[in-house]
Amino acid sequence: MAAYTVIVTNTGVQILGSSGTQTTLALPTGVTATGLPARFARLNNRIIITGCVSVPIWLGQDLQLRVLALPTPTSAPVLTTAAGTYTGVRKAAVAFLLRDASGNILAESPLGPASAAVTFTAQGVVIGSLPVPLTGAPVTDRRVYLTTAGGATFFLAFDVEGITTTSVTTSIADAALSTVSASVDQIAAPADLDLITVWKNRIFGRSQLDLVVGSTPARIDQWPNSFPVDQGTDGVGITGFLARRDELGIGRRDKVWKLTGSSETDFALVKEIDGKGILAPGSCLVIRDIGYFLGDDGVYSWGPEGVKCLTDATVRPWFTTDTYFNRAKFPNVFAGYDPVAHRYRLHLANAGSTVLDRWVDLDIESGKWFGPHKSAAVTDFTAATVAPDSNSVLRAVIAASDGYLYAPTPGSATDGASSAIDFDVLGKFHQGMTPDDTQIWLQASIFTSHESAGTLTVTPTVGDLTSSAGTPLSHDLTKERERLPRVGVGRLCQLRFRENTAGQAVQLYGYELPFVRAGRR
Amino acid sequence: MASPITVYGLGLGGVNLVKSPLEMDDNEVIQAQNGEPYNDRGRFGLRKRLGLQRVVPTGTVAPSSAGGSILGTLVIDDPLGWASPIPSEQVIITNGYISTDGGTTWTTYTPDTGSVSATPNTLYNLATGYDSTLSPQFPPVWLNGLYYMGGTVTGQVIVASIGNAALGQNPHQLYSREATRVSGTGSANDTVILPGVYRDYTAETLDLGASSWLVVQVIGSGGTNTRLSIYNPTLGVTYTLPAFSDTTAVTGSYSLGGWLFVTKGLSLFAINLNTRDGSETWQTLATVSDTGIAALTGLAALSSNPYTLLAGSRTSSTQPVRVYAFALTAFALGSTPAVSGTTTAASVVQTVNPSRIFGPFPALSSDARLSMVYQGTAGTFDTLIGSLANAETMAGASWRILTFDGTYFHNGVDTSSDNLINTVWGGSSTRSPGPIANSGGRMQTMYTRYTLSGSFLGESRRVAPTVGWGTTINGGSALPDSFWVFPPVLLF
Repeated sequence: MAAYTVIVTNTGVQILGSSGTQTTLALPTGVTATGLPARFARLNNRIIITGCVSVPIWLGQDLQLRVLALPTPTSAPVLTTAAGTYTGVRKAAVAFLLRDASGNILAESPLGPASAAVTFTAQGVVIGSLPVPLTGAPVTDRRVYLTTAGGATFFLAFDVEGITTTSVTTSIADAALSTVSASVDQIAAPADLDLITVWKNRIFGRSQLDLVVGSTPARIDQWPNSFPVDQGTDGVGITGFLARRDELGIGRRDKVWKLTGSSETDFALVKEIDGKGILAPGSCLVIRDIGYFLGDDGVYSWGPEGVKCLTDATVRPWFTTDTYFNRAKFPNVFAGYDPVAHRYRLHLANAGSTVLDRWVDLDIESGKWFGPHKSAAVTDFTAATVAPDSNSVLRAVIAASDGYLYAPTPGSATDGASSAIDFDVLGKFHQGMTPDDTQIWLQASIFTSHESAGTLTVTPTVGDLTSSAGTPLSHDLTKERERLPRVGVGRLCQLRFRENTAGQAVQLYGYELPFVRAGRR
Repeated sequence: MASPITVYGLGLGGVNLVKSPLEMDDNEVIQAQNGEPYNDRGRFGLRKRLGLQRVVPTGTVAPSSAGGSILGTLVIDDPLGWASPIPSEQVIITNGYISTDGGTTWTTYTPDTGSVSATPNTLYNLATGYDSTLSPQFPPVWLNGLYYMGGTVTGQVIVASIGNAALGQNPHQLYSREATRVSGTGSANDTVILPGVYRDYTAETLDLGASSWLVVQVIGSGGTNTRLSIYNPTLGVTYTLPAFSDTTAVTGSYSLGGWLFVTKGLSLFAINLNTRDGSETWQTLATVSDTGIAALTGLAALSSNPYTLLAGSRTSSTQPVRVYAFALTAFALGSTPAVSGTTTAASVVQTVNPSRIFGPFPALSSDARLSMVYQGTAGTFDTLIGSLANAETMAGASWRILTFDGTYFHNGVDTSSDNLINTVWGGSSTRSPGPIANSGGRMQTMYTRYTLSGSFLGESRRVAPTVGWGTTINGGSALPDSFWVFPPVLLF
């Protein structure tokens, strides 16, 4: 399937074509890259990009990047008289327009200040001092609104092409004005818009830390929706959004709110849970109408049954101790979805590391966790997405600081060109009949898939929980079943399975571990 | 001895760091680094995770770095309607003339060996490896790609690749700056000629789906006879056809219903490729008895009921260009197509007097089914064209593109009157060689600085003159309000 990939780097925005062609897109004038994570939202074939740029921008189908918020005219037009036929008292106001090369209107700014009212008696209406945008502003044309005689409501009159003309004359009658009045929804997107998402055919995002702002349906230039959420309660503000089918989750570090309703007439803000919230904006994902996010002590889900912790009963120490991960980096972690394996994948920093060089998988179907995983080839993951492969199958794609995109690839047992994947599995401590007894651990049988070559190292630890590992044993991976030498004597026995050779696949089905009771000492 | 501890489905319980050893299930683990659950055909357990490989957008394009730490990525998986990531205003040129100001001025240009970058309104050279001798006279445009010879050529002996492709990114654009080698299995003196296509005409060809094939020929390599190969970059398959009995070059091809038709010398050949099981042989359908020409060139379809294939004649500046019609009869799967009617000089349907002609090739118009590009010398068209009264005087050494609808040559602007001969593209040789042209045996391609909308393939395009090329036509008269462009794209 043909596809384009939008890639935001610390140097700008690029498009990767399906044939591998890379094209750098020019940032709009005055817009600079921030080096921060990019946030995307796609609505009506327009891709809004925030975070990684100094002001929100959007990408259109013409592959042009433009500033999201059109400037609002700051000066009022001046009405004077000329020869013409109009009679009445009128005012005028002007909005800026942005059109594409085909003339389609892409965006309109809010109305600028209104002119003073002027009385015309069988005269032409000269609309002078038309506001002109600053150089580089995303404005191509201007739109003139006029009132009817004696009225206060502005109606669309006509567009003035270009941005240089400063005066036009018209005798347009009141009846010839558009019946469409200037929209009260024509509120520009905030310049600090961030953490954007799409919900109910609208874009929602964060502004001023505590404000949820939203556009009108299918529009990116009208932002009338605004909902303050616990304003001023901390210095972090809103930390993430979870756009489920009927509810928009809004997270702070210690709370989750939700926005319900279906339109501006019935949107309502309701608190979902207190005491737990979203710690990492990048960890927020909605998969099959269930939201997932990283809280301060684990990964949580948010669905019809409310907010539930998914890690307390299994891997809570990953998130509550400093043994496994650098918890200081938790606010910076991000998550991805592997649609083939149906897994929520959370990228984290190893303990002592400052880059996201580890990841863990939640197998959503079983609710089990796997990991922590690492790669010798890719040591700093930066973003994740889902993309179709050549068979149009959606696959997980992970971006890295080396500027490449990576994907888990069937048939590959190597990371990158030649890096081995360090398969390292540590089983439970077996206690035999009772942990109080000393056991004689006999010859273990290992069951694996048949491989053409390779060796799986099996390292037993026999004795106590703190005993040192014993002598490593080798399992021939060309054999589906192999009996290893006797393991040892002790109360407990644990087996560790490791294979770290490039290109070597391993499928470990299980093992049998015979033992006899030696006695109680 | 107590019963052994049996652990099957190891790891399927996931990682558990919370339970005590007494509480842990046997299939739970304390660590599953780079391990993932696996369950297939009754085998289940923990396997080494899949390797992380750089995303390769297609099977033939090497991945490349985005040039910096990636801060975010989003896939547009339905790019239809989106512009090409490649600037649309550009020219691809391999030799001859180049313009760096959007077509206003032209200078001679020798291709360099560098790849190209992307800046709108700038002309670019195709990537390395273009060979002027072995490449086709005009480039086959196929599957949004421009194909030409590539690779290292040493004394016309070694050709490292079958063809290079300049891939367009969407239907709005024929060419792109990206030249990519599509195969490395060519051999000496390979020449890319026209693309052919073998669709799911029968069940036997369903395996090819909608993919089509590029026809490559080997001309007398090492003293061997002419041989054709067809290559499908989508499938990555090359199939070599039976050799001819001599070394005469194939000069044109056209595909129809699983058959490949070619012109070679003065003859029209056909071969049934519906099965490709090794039993197919070349059928000689017709031979033109015309001593005034050296060989037929090009092959294109004129009509579909019955199919009539047209071939031009290669000529010198003193010989007329002729177009021959081969009406196919009994054309059905399983039967050998036959040619009805005469194919001798008596069936010449048009004669012009250019110094070079390239084509014919199909035009993208329902009413103009054949196009050709020629370089004319001073003179006039022969008035054999119907009752045409105002045959056009050709400027010296001008390049023209003509279309033919079965009755008249015309420019596509006005097909209703008899004022049909006109140049659509062209100019003096000091400026532009034309949209598709041949200069000294070298390939030049068209100027694509126009804005199109809708599907490109399968129909002509009306192009606004304001974004067209040049400002004068036919001795200074203004461009018409619009005109048709007939790019050399085969109708598949």
